[in-house]
Amino acid sequence: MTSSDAKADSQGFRPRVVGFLCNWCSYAGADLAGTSRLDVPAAISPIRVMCSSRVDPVLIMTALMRGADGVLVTGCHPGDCHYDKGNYFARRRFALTDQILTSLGLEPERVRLSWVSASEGPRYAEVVNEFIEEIRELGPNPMRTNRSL
Amino acid sequence: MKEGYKGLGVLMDAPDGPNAAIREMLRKGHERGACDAILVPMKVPSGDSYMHVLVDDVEMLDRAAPISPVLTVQGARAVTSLTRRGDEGVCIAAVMRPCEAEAVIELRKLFQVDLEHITIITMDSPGTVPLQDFARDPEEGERVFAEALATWDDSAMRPICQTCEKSNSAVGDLHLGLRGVQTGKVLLIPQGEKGLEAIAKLGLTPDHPIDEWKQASDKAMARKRGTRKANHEDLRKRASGLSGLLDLLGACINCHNCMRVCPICYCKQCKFDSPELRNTSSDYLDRADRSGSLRMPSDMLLFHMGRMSHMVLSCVSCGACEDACPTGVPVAQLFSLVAHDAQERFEYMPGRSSEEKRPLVTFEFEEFSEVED
Ligand code: SF4
Ligand code: SF4
Ligand code: SF4
Ligand code: FES
Repeated sequence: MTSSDAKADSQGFRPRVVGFLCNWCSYAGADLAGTSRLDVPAAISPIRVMCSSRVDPVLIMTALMRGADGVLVTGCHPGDCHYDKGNYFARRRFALTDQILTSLGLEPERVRLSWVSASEGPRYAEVVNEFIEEIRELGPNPMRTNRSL
Repeated sequence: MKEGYKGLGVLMDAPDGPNAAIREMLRKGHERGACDAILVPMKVPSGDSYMHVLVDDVEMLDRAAPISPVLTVQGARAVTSLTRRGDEGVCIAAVMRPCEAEAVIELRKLFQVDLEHITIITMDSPGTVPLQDFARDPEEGERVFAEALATWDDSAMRPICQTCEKSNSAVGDLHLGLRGVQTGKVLLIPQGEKGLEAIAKLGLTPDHPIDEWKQASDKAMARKRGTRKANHEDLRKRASGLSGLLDLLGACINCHNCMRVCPICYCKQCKFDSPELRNTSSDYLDRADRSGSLRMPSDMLLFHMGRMSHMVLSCVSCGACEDACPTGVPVAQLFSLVAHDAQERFEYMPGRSSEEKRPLVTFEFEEFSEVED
């Protein structure tokens, strides 16, 4: 993976994003993006999980509270989960996370759920680039520097 | 709100007030074999609190306070402890408030209670007195509560009660309607098979229309919905955003009492008390490094938000957490706000039906497209 846009912007902000990638689709998609030499920012720290349904809200919240500026959850497209229905459950858990963040006014835009298949290397690169751009516009996660978490 | 049996109930005499009428009904039910024992709130011998008590000897019923002034141990917890090892066919009538009964139904979906031989009896709730106020001055607490029960003015009851739109919900197998029912009477409303069975064993026939009670209830609940909305809007203003939220939770001392008393938080080992969340001191130092300092113990916000993610869809807004908080954090109001939003989004109402699946163990193929891309 190249690091073209992990560069700091004028205020010195370098977005850092945690990406949860399901082993069977999205991780392979990310791998393909790499072997195809697509431009994927190093600002994302990928974490491989066996299925998107493994990503419970507490994992996402922990990442945010430990200073990630954004959290990306990816999985197989609906209907294609290796474990059949995991991603439908993942979507519900994600919707709950989104709701908690929204209700508490905590920038739900910092979390994103995207479906990326094993053959979608270019889509993976696009999703990551787009998300990091959005995070760059949002600026640093205030949780990163808050003292009273 | 459930409609009861064909919109009919039994109008019972209550010359000495609803508490006495419920005691009388329980005594009769026990005599006629409708139940082997009764789980009901009772004043503790020292006179300064109330607890759910399992009553075997009906003589003891004289001391029962079915509509107690405080909510101490959440009734659903009492029922769980009772049936944890199986019920062995002992029939128990359990008296509690609607929010407690709703928690029982949620716990049934979580396989924590066995309801086969339990008949739940609920009543219109006038609210409860904040637990710490009551502990400070039980006499005053009794007085304030008696007034609320007589007038249905809930302004001295807990904030969570003032905003409760389900305080008149007929949740139990038997529900006692008090509001809008003529003075000196209570309306016994049976629900489902168990309710009808109990009524039959009591030798009663549902023949009195529940319309008047229902109208009065609906009206009162509509008013409470208004209060709820205002409370939520105020809270949204105060708690919205990281700094507002942290201010609201600022006094939290990480005691986790709120979790321990919550009926829905039944886990033997809470994730947020587990070694899983412990880090090495150098990890903490790393975190402190980013902002110059770190509140210790850390992860206060993670505990509250994580707990929300575990249980808020089943939160019944009973307020037990807030009553148990030693530092006055409005934790039930905060949970209730998020619960309201989340339950609306998932079109789920905890305690509505024990057949309904909890939202996170089911799904539709096409839904929540707004969160995926
Ligand atoms: S917060 Fe979660 S882990 Fe802890 S008791 Fe509640 S449901 Fe269980
Ligand atoms: S979170 Fe608080 S209000 Fe909600 S069910 Fe638990 S104790 Fe009751
Ligand atoms: S009971 Fe109060 S002080 Fe204790 S953890 Fe809960 S909110 Fe914090
Ligand atoms: S294995 Fe990819 S989403 Fe379940």
